[in-house]
Amino acid sequence: MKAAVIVSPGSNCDRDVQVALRQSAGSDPIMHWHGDANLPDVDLIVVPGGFSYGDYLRAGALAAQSPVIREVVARANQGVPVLGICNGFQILTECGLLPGVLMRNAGLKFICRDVDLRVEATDTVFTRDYVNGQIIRIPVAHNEGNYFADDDTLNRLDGEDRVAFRYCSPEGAVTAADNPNGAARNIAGILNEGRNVLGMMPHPERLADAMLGGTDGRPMFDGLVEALATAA
Amino acid sequence: MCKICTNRDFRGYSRIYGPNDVFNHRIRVRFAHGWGNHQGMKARIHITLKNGVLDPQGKATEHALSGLGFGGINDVRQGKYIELDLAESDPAKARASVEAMCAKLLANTVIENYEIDLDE
Repeated sequence: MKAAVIVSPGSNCDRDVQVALRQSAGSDPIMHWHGDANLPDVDLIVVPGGFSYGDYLRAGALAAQSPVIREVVARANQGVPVLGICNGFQILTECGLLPGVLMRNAGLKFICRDVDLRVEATDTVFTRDYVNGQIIRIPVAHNEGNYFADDDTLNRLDGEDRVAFRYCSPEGAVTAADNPNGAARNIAGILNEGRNVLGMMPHPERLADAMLGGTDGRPMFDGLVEALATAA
Repeated sequence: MCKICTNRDFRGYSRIYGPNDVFNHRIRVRFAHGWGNHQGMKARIHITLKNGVLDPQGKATEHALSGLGFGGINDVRQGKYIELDLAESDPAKARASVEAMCAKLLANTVIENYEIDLDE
C-alpha cells in the first residue's frame, strides 16, 4: 500500500501518522508538502492534525485552499480513500469534501484527553477492523471540535449511516455528559457519500502502540493496510 | 502600469503623502500627465454568526459584562471585521469580486453571514 501524508506549515501530527502507518504497513508513507500540487499516485491520503496556517481566519480554512488539497479533492472524487484527523477533519469540511463545520468547543477550552467513542459504521476501509457498537478509547486534542450542521444535513448523515464515531460513556451510552465539545448528536467522525472519505476529531495515531498506553487506534491503520493491499 | 490601481498611464513612481495618508489610502501616483490620486476602493466586510448558531464566546463575554455591573444586555454576538484595499475602481466589479471572496474563503456560509460595504 502506498500512502501519502499531507504536510502543511503547522501540521504537528504528520510524524505520528507516519509512525502508525509504518508500523501497520511495514513501509514509510510519502510525506507530501502542501504547496506541491503534483501528488504521486497513492492508495491512501491522510490529512493529519495540527494547526495549519496557525488556524488563521478559521481552523483549516487556509489549508483547504492550498494547491495539494485541490488534488486531494479530485482524488477523493475518484474514490481514493482520504482520512482527515483533527485539523485534517477541519480542512476536509472547509474544502467541501465533508458537510458541516467544526466550531469552537462549547466550553471554550482546548480539550486534550482520552475519550470513549462508539464505532457506528464498520463497512468502510477505515473501520473494517472494528466491530459495530465497539467502544474504543482514543485521545482528542482540539479547540474547534464542536461539529455543527443544519438539521437536514444531520438527518441525512444519520439516515445514510455516515456517522462513523460518536462520543459516548465507557459503557457506550451516547449522552450530553459524555460530549466533550458540544458536537451535534455527539458526532466525532463522519463519512462522505462514497464512504471513502473519513473525517474525525480524535487521534487514532496517538494510541496505536502499546508503548503509548493503548492500541485502540491501531485497527484503523491495520484495516487500511489490509483493505488497500488486497485492492492493489 | 500602476501596481496599485492598474492604471496603464502610470509612469513608474508612487508616493504616499504623510503618515496619516497611509491609513486614508490616499496614495498619489505619477501619471504621464502628472501626479494624481490612486484610484481604487476599500471594502469593509462584517462576518457574523447566523441566527441560531451558538456563540459561546459571545455568551462568555456577556457573562463577564454582567459581572462588571453592566446591565441590560440582552445578547452578545461576536464576529469578524475584514478590510480590503482594492485596486478595482468599478464598484460593480469590486462588489462582485468581494462577494466571491466571501463565499469562497472569508466566510464559512454554513454558519456565517457576511455584509460588504464599499468605500469609493
